[in-house]
Amino acid sequence: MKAGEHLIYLVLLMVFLVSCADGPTGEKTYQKSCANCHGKEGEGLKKLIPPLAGSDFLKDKKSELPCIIRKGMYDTILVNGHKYIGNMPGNNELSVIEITNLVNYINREWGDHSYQSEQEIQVELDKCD
Amino acid sequence: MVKGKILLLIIGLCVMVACKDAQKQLPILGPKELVEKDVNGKIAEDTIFHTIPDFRFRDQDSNWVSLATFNDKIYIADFFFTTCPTICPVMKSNLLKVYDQYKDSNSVSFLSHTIDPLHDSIPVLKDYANRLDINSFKWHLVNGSKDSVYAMAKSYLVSAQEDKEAPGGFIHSGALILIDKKRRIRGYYDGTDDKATAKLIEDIKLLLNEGR
Ligand code: HEC
Repeated sequence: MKAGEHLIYLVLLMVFLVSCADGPTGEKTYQKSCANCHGKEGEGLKKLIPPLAGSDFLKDKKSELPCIIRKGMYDTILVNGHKYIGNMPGNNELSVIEITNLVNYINREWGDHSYQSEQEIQVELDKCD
Repeated sequence: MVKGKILLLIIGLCVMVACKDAQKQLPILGPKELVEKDVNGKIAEDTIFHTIPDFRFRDQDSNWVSLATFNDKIYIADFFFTTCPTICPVMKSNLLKVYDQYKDSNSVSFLSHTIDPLHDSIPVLKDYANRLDINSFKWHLVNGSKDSVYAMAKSYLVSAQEDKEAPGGFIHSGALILIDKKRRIRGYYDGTDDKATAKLIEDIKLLLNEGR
C-alpha cells in the first residue's frame, strides 16, 4: 500500500514539474494553431507539410520564426532536402505574448532550448513584412 | 479466494463482450423507405436503403472514376481541398493511417472529392498525391464540376459549400464516410479525431467480414 501511495505522489510531482517547465500556453497555442498541419509531434505530413522537429530550415532561420508565425509562408523552400511549395496561413490573431510562448515552446521541443523574451520577439515582429 | 472469483468474473465479462463484438454489424445509415412487394402472391414489406448514385469524375491520373471503379470493393469517401488551412491536413494524416492498414487489400479503396475544382486541377491533385505518396489505383483524388461535387456531398449526407467568410473559402464536413459493396453508407467517422480513426480501421474489418 505504502509503495503505491509514494508512487502516486511521485507521479503527481512529476506532472507538476513538467507543466511548470512547459509554460502551457505555448503548447496550447501550438496544438490549436499549428498541430493540424505540422502534426502533434511536429512531424509534418509526408512531403506535403514540412516538419518542425529536426528541420534544418528552422535551425538556420530561427530568427524568422516570429514572422513566419504571424505572416504565414507562401514560398518554395527546402527542408531536409525536400522541396515544399505549400501555403501556410498567417496568424494575425495571436498576440506578442502568445507568439513568444509559442516560439519558446517550439525551441524547447525541437530547437536549441533557447529562450526569448517578449521584447526580443517584438523586435523581430517589427522587422517582418 | 475472492480475488480468484473476481478474476473469473472479469474473464467472463471479457468473453461476453468479445462475443457480442463478433456478431456486431454496422448499421445501414441514411433515409429508408418501406415498400410492399409481391412475393409468391403474398404481400411482403421490404426496406429500401439509401444508396450513393453513380458518378463520373477524373482522378489524379486523368482516369475516369465511377461506381464501377469500386466494383466488389468497399470504399472510404471524404471531401477536401488542397489549399485547406484548417482540418484537411489532419484528416489526410488520419486517412493515411487507414490507408497504410489496408494498403495490400484489394477490397478497400479511397475516394477524395475536391470541393475546389477550379483550383485543384488534375496536375494539382497529382502533385498532392505524390507528396502524400499514395497509389492512384487505390486512392482516387477526383475533380468534377462544383455542382456535381456539391450534389455528391448531399448524397453522402454531409455538407460542403463555398463560403467566402470561412478560412480558405469553403466549409465542409471533416467526416470520413464508409461505403459498403452495395453502395450503402455504413459509418461516419470524424477524420480529425484519432479515436474515430481507430474505430474506422476496426469497422472496416467488420464490414469486410460481412456476408462471409
Ligand atoms: C494550413 C497548414 C499549416 C498551418 C496551420 C501551419 N503551417 Fe507552418 N507550414 C505549412 C506549410 C505548407 C509550410 C511550407 C511553406 C512553404 O512552402 O512556403 C510551412 C512552413 C513552416 C515553417 C518553415 C519550415 C519548417 O518546417 O521549418 C515553420 C517554422 C512553420 N511552418 C511553423 C508553423 C507554426 C509555428 C504554426 C502555428 C502557428 C504553423 N506553422 C501553422 C503549413 C502550415
